[in-house]
Amino acid sequence: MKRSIEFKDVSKRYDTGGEPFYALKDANFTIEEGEFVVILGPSGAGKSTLLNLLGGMDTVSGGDIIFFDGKKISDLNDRELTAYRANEIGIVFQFYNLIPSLTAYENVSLMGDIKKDIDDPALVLEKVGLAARKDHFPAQLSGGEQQRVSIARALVKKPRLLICDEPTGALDTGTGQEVLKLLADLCRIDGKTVVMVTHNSLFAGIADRVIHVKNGRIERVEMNAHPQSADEIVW
Amino acid sequence: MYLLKKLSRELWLQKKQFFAIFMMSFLGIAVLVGMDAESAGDRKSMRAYYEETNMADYHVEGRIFSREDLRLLRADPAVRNAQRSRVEQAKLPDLKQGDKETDLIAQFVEENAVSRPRILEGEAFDAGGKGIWLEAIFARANHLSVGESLTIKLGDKRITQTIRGLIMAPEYIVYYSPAGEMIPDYTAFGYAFLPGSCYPSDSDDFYTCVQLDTKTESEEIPYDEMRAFKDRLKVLLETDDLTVLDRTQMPSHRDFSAEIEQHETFAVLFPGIFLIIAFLGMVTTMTRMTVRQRTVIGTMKALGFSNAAVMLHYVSFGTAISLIGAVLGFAVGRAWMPPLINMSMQSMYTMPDWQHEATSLSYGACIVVVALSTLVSCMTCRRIMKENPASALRQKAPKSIKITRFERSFLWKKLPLSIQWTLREVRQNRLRSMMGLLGVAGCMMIILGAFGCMDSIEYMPDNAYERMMIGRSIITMEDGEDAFTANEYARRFHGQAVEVVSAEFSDPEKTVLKTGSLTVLGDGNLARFYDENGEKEIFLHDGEVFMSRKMAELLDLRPGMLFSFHMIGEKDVHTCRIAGINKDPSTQGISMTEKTFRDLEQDFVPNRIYTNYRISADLSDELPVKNVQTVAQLRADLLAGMDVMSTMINIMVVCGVALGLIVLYNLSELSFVEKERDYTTLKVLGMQAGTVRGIIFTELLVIGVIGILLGVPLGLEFLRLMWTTMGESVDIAPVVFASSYVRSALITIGVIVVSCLLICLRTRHMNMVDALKSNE
Repeated sequence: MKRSIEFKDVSKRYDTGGEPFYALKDANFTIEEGEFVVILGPSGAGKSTLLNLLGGMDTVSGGDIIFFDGKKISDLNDRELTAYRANEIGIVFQFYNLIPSLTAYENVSLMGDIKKDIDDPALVLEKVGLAARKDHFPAQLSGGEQQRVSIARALVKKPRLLICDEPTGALDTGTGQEVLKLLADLCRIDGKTVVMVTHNSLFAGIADRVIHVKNGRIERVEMNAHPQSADEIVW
Repeated sequence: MYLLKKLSRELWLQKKQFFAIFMMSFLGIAVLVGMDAESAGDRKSMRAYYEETNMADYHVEGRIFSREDLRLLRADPAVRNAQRSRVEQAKLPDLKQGDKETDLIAQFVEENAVSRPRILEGEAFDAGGKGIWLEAIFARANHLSVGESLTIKLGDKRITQTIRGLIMAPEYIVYYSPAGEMIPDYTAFGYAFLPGSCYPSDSDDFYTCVQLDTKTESEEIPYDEMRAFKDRLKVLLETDDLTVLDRTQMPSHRDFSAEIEQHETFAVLFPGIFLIIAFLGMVTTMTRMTVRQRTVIGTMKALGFSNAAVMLHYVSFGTAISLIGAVLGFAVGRAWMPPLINMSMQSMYTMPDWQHEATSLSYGACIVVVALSTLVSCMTCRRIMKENPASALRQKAPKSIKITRFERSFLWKKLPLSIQWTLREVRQNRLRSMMGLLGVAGCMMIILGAFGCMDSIEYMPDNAYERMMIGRSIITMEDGEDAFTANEYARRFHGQAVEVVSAEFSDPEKTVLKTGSLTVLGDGNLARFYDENGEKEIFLHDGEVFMSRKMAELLDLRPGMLFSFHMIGEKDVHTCRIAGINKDPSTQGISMTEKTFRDLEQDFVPNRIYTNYRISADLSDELPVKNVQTVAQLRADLLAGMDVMSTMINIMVVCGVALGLIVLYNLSELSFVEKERDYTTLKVLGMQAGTVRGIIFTELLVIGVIGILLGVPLGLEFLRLMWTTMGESVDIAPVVFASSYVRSALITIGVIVVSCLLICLRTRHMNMVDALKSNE
């Protein structure tokens, strides 16, 4: 039986002095292991909040998030959240967030400082097609290449969940497609669970599960019986 | 390992900021350690010299001391050793300075136990034998060497002995020529040690001094202990007519210690201010740099780095740089500055060696600088660390500022863009602007303080010889000359007869006792007095006693209060009331008229004559005259005496300018980096590069001008503080000439302009495409 991540009545509230503001309210959904999940919604809908909570980068104001192994992420303290991020999660950022003073190889290898059991950084870079560019600094790489390094950095830790925040948001269509394909392959071929946040509804086609977010609420969750391949997505 | 790589690469990438932190830490520590090592080294060298030569703790004077006296003194439980000696002003008839015979101090000693001469060449001193042990510098200056025969004249008696050794002695560190010059001329004056057996006397009852070595180990003998000891000696020898001088009353030790004390004050005050400014600069730089790394910190946290790992990584930036700066500053300051200052010292003082020793102050300052910069990095990091990764990943929203009433006014709209921009910048970046302001103010303060020191010193002779003693020459009478002879000279040169003697002063309860001068003024008006601020002239009348401001402060006395004094070597204790407080920069004590002195049943025996005549030095050939000094010569001597301080002040000015430049350039650089995108946008929109440079320049200029204005009162206060904490015998008025204000302001403006030019150079290389893309 496949294991799953569960969101149960998850809320994120900000007290701004007057009326509390809910970035996310009573979110309920499930993510199955090995799925490609797209969280879809317009700007300010609460999708990044959702991703931050899932990635252990932010804490809930209410409700429970239960990880694959039954661990309640919402109950973890700061130290445990750090360990969770280090061991279970791989994160891909919209603007790559590479350490500018480290080369591509070093950015990936850096993960060895936080987790002992990592894959060979050179092999992972080869897998994302950057073997030849591994000794370049981020400033010497194109946006797509930087995003590949970012993906390699996330993968090298062998995370159980790969979360991607608008990974193609800063890329042109061609490069974005390549990145999208890479992420889809990680899911389809390697069996990784990938959660991707986007505001682009075209991406919904490649997902197994699409979670629609609007005004801080889960509007609906759709299942895709026949996901498209990344090559078919054009924007 | 990769974090270490990141650290080293980022140190290189942000080398300008890190170099500034390094330089601030380096300069601050270098100046402090340099001055500390110099002053502490001088003191250590002095102590070592005293220990090696067993420098006397006391001199007992006031009569001819017999063997029995010596035995009694040695029997005192506090006395470890004692020896009899006699000091004579001698002449060398075979060695002439023009027509005059060269002066020599001849010290006859019975033993070689206390205040021993240090042998530099020749034989060990033989107190039981015969011969002369001559001051080495004097001998070399006059081409005299060991083995030669030398004749010395004591009054009308001549002694001829072989030079058996060349020496230096601990009681002659400071050069005191009989002619009173302060600039050493070793060809004209020296000293020699001779065994007592060389003294032209049939018996051994000619010793006028007993040098005592006591069992007290501490350098500073407690006042009560010293007083009790002195009283006990008088009881032991059954006489009140005894003068017991402790080390603080021995001229060489007193003056050399005072010089060291001045350096110690400098070593704390100047570098202290220096370090504060450097530290403020470091705080700003570290804060801004850590804040700029906000998203990287957020990323590291999001990737799973623990707070401790991120914190350690960022703290190591500040710690590493400040540590390198402090260590190098320590090494360079210690190695470079003391020899520079000691070069001037060596021309004024004779010591076997000049050590340099950094004290706990230096080590403490290094630790504080590193600890504080670590703490600052820690605190800045902690602020970001407290946020969760999601929030740390977001750029901090710019501070919202409200439009003030002024900004809505008509006047605001009339202001040029550069001024509007600057005012908004200052409001939005209060910390950075404040640090810039303090940097300029600090720079101005150090430079004005340093120039003020020079001015105060330069003003001293003007004050002393144009306002306080308005004659043209001072005739000093030979020791032991009677009142009649002195008064004859006063009449001959229409001068004012003055008696200056050493005295001990105390408050009525005798809780504090200080040594100073008693000045008694005969008829005449060449000696003047000024109020405690040194401004308004006050007049001394018969029946009144003026006390110098510093002495009154030391004894905690005010006008109208009673105090006691007795002249050194005399038993009578007098109690008087203070009629007024006068400011005297170099002599601390009391002043009274001849009549007041006589009313205390004292004989007025003038030993100086102030006269308006410009008297030739030939007058000193007359037997009753010890020497003649013209005011011009005295002024030159007084300034020469401050030569060492001038060296220190010059160092401070150079370092102050360097620090100001670093602080200001660094803050401008920080501001530029943060605003580069805005400047580029203005360029993209079509604004001329000159206008952009104008904005940058205006911002610096506004902060600079306010900083300069703020630096003036700070500099004056700093100067006042420095002079009030400087030695008991000195009461220098803080004076700043108008030219110094101008010079300090010009130098500070120069610093502003240079840092501005350096920043403006960067605007030439601003790449519009890159700069606008970089914010993505």
